Amino acid sequence: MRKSVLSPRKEHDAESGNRSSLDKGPAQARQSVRQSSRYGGSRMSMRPSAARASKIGGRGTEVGLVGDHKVVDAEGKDRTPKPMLVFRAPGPLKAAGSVMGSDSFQDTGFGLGRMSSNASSMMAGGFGGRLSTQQSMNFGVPSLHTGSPIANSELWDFESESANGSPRGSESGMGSARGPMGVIKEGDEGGGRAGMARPGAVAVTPEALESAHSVRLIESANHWIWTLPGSLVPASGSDAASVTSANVRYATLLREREGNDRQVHGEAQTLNPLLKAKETQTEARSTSTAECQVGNVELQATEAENDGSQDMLEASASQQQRPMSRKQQEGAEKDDGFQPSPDLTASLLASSNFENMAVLGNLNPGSGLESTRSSFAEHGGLEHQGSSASSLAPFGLGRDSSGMQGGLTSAVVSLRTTRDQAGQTNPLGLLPSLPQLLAVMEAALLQRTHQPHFLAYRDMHPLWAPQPTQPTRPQQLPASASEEEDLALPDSAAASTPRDLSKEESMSNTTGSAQLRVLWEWSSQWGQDLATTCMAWNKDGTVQLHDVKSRQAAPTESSKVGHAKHSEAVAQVRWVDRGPDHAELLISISPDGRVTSWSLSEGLAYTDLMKLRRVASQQTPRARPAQHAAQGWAPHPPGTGSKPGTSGMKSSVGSGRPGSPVPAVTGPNPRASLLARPGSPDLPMPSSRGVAHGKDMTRVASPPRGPKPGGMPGGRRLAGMRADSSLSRAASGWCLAFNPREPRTYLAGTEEGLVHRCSVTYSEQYLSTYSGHMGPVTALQWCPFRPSLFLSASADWTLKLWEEGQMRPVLTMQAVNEEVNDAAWCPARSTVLASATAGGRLELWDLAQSVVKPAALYCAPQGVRLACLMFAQDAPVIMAGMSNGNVAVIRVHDVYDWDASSSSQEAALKAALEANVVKSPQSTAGA
Amino acid sequence: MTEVEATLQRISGHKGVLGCIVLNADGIVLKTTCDSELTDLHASLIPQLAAMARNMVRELDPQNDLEFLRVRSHKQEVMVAPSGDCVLIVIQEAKTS
Repeated sequence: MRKSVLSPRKEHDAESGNRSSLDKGPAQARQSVRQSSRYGGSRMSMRPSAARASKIGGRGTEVGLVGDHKVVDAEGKDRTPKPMLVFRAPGPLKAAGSVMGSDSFQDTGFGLGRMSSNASSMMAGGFGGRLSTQQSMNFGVPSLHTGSPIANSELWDFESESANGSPRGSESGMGSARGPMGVIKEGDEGGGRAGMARPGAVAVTPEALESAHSVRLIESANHWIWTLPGSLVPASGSDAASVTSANVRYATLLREREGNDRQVHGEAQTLNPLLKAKETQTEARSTSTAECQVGNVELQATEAENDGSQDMLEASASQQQRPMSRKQQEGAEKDDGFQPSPDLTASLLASSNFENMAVLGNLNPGSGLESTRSSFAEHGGLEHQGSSASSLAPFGLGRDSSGMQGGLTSAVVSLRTTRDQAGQTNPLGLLPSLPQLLAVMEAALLQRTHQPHFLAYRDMHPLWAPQPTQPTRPQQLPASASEEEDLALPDSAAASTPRDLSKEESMSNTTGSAQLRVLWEWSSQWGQDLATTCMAWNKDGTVQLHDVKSRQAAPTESSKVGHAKHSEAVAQVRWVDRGPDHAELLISISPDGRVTSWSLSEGLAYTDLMKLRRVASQQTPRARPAQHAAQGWAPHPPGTGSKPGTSGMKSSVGSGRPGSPVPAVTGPNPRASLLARPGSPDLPMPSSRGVAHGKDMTRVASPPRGPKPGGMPGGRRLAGMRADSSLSRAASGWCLAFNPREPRTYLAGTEEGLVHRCSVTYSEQYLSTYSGHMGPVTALQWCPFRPSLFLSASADWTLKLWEEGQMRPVLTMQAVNEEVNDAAWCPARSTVLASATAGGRLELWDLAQSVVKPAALYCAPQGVRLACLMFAQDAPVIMAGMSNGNVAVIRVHDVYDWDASSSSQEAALKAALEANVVKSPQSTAGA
Repeated sequence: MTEVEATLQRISGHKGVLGCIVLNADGIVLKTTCDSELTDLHASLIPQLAAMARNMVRELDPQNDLEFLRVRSHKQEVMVAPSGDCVLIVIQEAKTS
C-alpha cells in the first residue's frame, strides 16, 4: 500500500506545533485542502483513504509529489520535489498511532526525503548519509517511518522523540531551515529511501479506518545552525559583572599598548595580484576632415550684405550690365588676363558662391585695398583671385554677378572701372569720402604741428622734439591788429581767431613761489575796427555786438543810431548775469558819463542807468605824490592850491606839480590805448579829451571848490583851482563793476578817482562814494571770495582794496611808479591778484606773502604797454593785452588752487588782510 | 570740388608737409603734390600697410574700422587716411619747428 503522502510545504515553521499541514501558506492551501480533503478533512485525524492513498501513492511512489506537477531534469531523472511529509503506514504498532501531519513531523520524520530547495543542496550531500542513518534509526522507531513515501496512511506516533531528538532535531533543523520546498535530494535520497527498510506493510482495515486516531504533534527541538550573539549584556544579568570587568581589562590593555614592552608591532605583507591589462579591439570610426577659413570680418560683411541683397540674387544672375557698385570696384582685381563671358561668371557665381566663400582667404570685403593688393592673399595665384571673390562673395549674393568671382571677371571689372573713371573730368570728384578724409588729415596735421604748444600748456614735454631752450620771436602778422581790450564776455576767453601761433619763451623772472611764463602770443585779425572784442566800440561811441561764432567782420548789432550811442568812447562793457530768470544785461560805461544798459530785444535798445555826476571831492589834503616819468597820468594832487592840478592830465614835464599849467595831454593815453590802434592819433580819449579836456580844463581852470553854476552837488574842490565852471556836469566813467552777489548795485569808477556805488534802479544819486584814488580809476572788480571787498586800480600807480561800507581803502599797494591799467582777482586763489601797468609790467600780488611787492612779475618787451589783463577761469593762465597788438598768454604756476574750498579761501584772505591791514598806515581801524 | 582742391592745397602748404597723395581704391594715383618716384613708392607700399592695419582693427572688433594711421620715423611722419574708395597720404617732416 502506498503511503499517502502529505505534501509538505516549506513554510511550515518548525516551532509551530500546529497542524501545519493545514497551516500552509496560500500557495499550498490548495494542496493542503486537497490533502485534508484527501484525508477526510479532519485535522486531527487523517484517514487516508485507501483509494486516495493508492492514487497518491501510485502517482508517486518513488517520485515525490508536488501537487500534480512533475519536475524532470534533462536526463529524465525525476526531480520533483518530494513532499516532506510522507505518510507511512504506522505499521502494526498501534491503532492509536498518531499521525504526524505537522511540518515538524514532516520535518523530522520525513525530512530526509524532501529537502527544501535552499538548504537541500547543502544538506543533501551532508545529510544524505545521515538521513539514511536516521532513517535507519528512525526505522528503529516503530512509530516513525521516515524515508520512503510509503503509501501509508497509518497514523503515526512520534513517541520516540528523544531518541530521535537529535537526529530528528537535525532533520527538523534541516527542515526548519528550509525554505520553500523545492529541490529534492539527489539520488542519495532515493538511495536513502531505497535503502530504507520498509516497515512492514500495515494492513489498512476498515476498522482501522473507522477508528479514531489521534495525532500527537510534537515539536522537535530547535537546532541552531548559526547564531549571532548580541554584544549587549543586560546590566542586571549574571554576566554583567564579568563582562564589565572584561571590558575594563580590555580598555586598560588598549591604553597601555603604546610603548608597552609587551606589545609587539608586526607587519605583514599582502599579496597583490598582478594586474593585467587587456586590450580590446574595436572597429575604427571613419572620419574625414574638412577645413575652411572664415574671419570675423567676412562673417560680418556677409551678414551686412545678406540683409539687403537676398532679393537680388535672382536678378543678379541674369544681369550683366548692371552698373557696378563701389564695392565691386573695390573688389576688382588688377587683372589676370581673363576675359570670360559674364554669363559664365554669373553662373559660376550662383553655383559656387557658397563653396568658395569661406574657403578662400581672409580678405576684408569692405576694403577694396586688400583685394587689389595681394598682400594678404598670399595663397597663390588662383586664390589670389579667389580672394577677391571671397571678398565679394558676401556681396555676390546680391551684387552684379559680373563683378563677382574676382579672378574671372576682374579684368572686366577693372576695365569698367577705369572706363568710368576716365569718363569723369575730375577723378577726385568720384571720391565721396575724400572731403572727410581731408578734414581728418588737416586736423591731424594741425594737431601735429601744434603739439608742442598743447603739451607745454599742460606742462608736458613732447617725446621727440628737442628740448625747447631758445626763445623764438613771436611771428606777427603783417596786418597787425589793434590792441585788444579786456574782454567783457563771460564765456569766451579770447575773441580773436588765432591765425598764427608762436611760442615765446618766458622772459619773466620768478620771485616767490608764483611763476609766470609766457606760452604764446596771439595776433589777431580783428583789428579792422578800433576795438577788437566781441563788443566792439568805436571811437565814436557805438556799441557793437559781434558774434564770435559767425566770424564775421560786421557786427551783429550796432548802436550807431543817434542818441543811443555814447558820445564818448565806450570805456567798458559788461555783461551782468542776473540769474537764470533774467536775460543777461549789457551795461556800458563811457566817459560821457552815462551808464547805459542795452537790451537786445529789438535791435539794440538802451536805457540809461545812471548819469555820473561829479561829486565834490572829499579828499583830505595830501602830500603831492612824486612826479613820475613821462607816461601816465599824474596822480591827482589833492587840494594843491589854485594851480590847476593836473587832475587826470598827462604831462610830460613835471606834471602833478600844483600850479603847473595844464599841459596838453601828450603821450599816449592809457585809456586811449585800450581803444586805439597803435599809430593812429590818440583817440577817444583825445577826442573826448577834447571834451574831457574841456571838462578837465574847466575843472582845472576853475577851482573845483568853487560853487558850480547849476548847483552841482558838491563839486570838486581842489584847493587852488579856479571855480569850476564846468561845461558839463558829467563825470567820466571809466570802469564798471558788478557784484555777482548783488546785481542791483554796481560800482562805477570815474576819471576823478572816485568810485561810486550806484543802484540800477535809482539813478538820481549815488548810494555811496569811495574816494581815495588820486587818479582815474581804471579798473574795478569785486573780490570773488569776499563779497564786501573790491579792488580798484588807478592811474595813480596804486591798487586799492576797499571794504564796502568803509570810505577809506583797506589796503593800498604800489609797486612802481606806473599807472595801473588793469587789475583783477585770481579766480582760484583768494589772496592773489594781478595788475597790469602802463610800463609793461604784469604783477602778480599775493596778499598772503607781501603787500609791498608783487610775488611775481612779467615784463613785456621794451616799450610795450600792458593795456588789460584777464585771468582764465579754468586754466592757470593770465592773458594780457599789449599795446603792440598782441595778447600774451601767460602760464601761472603754483598759484591757482582749485582744491581749496571757498571757506578756506575766505579765511586765507581774511587772515592776509588782517595781517596786512594793521601794518598799513593808511588803514582805518578794523578790517 | 573746389573746396576739396582748396583743402588739398592748404594741406600741402602746411608747414613741414613734403607731399600729399590721393590714391583711389585700386592704388592708382589720382593726385599728388610731390615728385613721382616718391609718389610711386608710397603708392605701392602704403595701401598694403593700411590694409593690414585695417584688418587688425577689424579682427579685434568687427564693428570697428580703421580711421587713421600714422607711421612716424626718424625723418618723416606718414599719415594715412584710408577709406572705402580712396586713400589719402600725407608725408610730413618729423621735426616740427
